[in-house]
Amino acid sequence: MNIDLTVNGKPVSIEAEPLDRLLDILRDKLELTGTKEGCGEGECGACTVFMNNKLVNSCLVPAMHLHNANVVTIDGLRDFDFFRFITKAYEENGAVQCGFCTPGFVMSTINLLRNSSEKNVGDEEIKDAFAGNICRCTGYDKIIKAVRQLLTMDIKVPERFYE
Amino acid sequence: MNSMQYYSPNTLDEYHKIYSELSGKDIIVFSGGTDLMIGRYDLPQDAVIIDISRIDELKGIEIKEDKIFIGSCTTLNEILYSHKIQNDIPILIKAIKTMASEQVRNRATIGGNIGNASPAGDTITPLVVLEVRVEIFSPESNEVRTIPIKSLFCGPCATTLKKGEIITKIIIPLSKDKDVFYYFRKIGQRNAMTITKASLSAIAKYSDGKIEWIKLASGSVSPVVKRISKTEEFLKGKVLTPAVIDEAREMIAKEISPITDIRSTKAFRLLITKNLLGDCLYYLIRQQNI
Ligand SMILES: Cc1cc2nc3c(=O)[nH]c(=O)nc-3n(C[C@H](O)[C@H](O)[C@H](O)COP(=O)(O)OP(=O)(O)OC[C@H]3O[C@@H](n4cnc5c(N)ncnc54)[C@H](O)[C@@H]3O)c2cc1C
Ligand code: FES
Ligand code: FES
Repeated sequence: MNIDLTVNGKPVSIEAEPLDRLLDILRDKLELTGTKEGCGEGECGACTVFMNNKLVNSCLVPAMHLHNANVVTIDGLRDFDFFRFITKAYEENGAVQCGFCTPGFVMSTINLLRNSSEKNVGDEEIKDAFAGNICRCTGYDKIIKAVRQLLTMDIKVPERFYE
Repeated sequence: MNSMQYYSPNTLDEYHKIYSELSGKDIIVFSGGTDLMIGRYDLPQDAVIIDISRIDELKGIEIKEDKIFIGSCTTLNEILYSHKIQNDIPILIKAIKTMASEQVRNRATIGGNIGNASPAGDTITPLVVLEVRVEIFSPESNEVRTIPIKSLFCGPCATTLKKGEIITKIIIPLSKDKDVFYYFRKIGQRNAMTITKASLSAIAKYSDGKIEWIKLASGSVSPVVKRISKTEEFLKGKVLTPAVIDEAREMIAKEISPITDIRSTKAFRLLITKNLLGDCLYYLIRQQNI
């Protein structure tokens, strides 16, 4: 089947089978390898992307759901101003060790930052926001510290990307 | 991956037309895909996928008179963020909050959770105590019918749906009783992102120090989720003393039939179900004293 969609603001047209995964389309067909595969079962969050402005696991999205979809991956967000603040906060707090989980955590961080200001984000909300991301290295504390730091800064994250 | 035949109807009527041309082929109803994508290599390759996610009639939440209608393709996050559900059906919010992650809840649908019919499906126990009805569309007759949710399940991961039939709506009766108490708790390997080893949903009315009525359903401890009716009957009209609570804990253990599987043992499931009921009843007492 032929599918027309938008990825990181660019219209693309791809050939795929109905149950091919968005994750494979991104990595193999479009060479957007910032998005990682960890578990392939929706558990680890390494494959997290935005689809129609919602955070999703690209390993669980079938090609047949992509007609006219707007997909935004970590590779499409690097040039935004807010991205530099996130990189810096992760670096400063030692929130990256092997780095495999990082693209997914950064996507969830972006989702949290654009939906909230520090006032309404407590420990529970932070934990909920990262329930779908697994890290085998950092023990999470350092990532949470980076996120807390980001929440205290007045970072402007657009409500929608490439729309 | 092999090429599988698939259709993406925009309306139920379109689905009916597609169905009539499929003579005899196996059908896989596909909604958010969070269950189906994981087992995609095991799907029969000659089956036809019917992607129902583009059917607008199956989406959204509506209140009409004394009922709330939830379209089967409504996502778990749409329900979680719905003010209507937050106000009127808090037990469902409580259950969905414990489910999966932001990423999964943006894709997973309520119809898929029910249609999957897992004894561990976390929306099922709240819906069973709420005594909801489900509306079902038959592509063969092009008609809908409604049945009580308890008639939908006939075994672990098995429903009474006939070939190609889809759940279209979940119909929740709005309670006339005010001050109804509700309880949902699930126990898994850890707190977040976890499959239920055992869970308990309860709604109850407590007045003059006695239980007027209580509705209970346990998850993951019987082949199908069902009401714990003997224990419900026992608790009716009772003052909740420690002795009554202990007796109820023993009763619920006799009413469920947990098994040992990869996630837990029979003995552990029995114990935590008893503890969940105790927790629920003591919570009820505390609520009354506030
Ligand atoms: C990482 C992860 C975590 C999860 N955590 C939880 C959890 O905590 N609790 C929990 O209960 N579940 C959990 N799940 C399971 C799953 O997300 C839910 O069961 C979800 O609600 C399924 O919905 P779906 O739309 O994705 O279903 P699909 O995968 O599209 O379908 C699931 C099944 O239901 C059938 N079906 C779908 N829609 C209908 C319909 N309208 N009518 C009839 N049949 C239908 C399909 O044929 C299929 O058999 C989790 C899954 C993942 C991947
Ligand atoms: S690869 Fe998608 S969640 Fe792990
Ligand atoms: S840094 Fe290695 S998995 Fe998170």
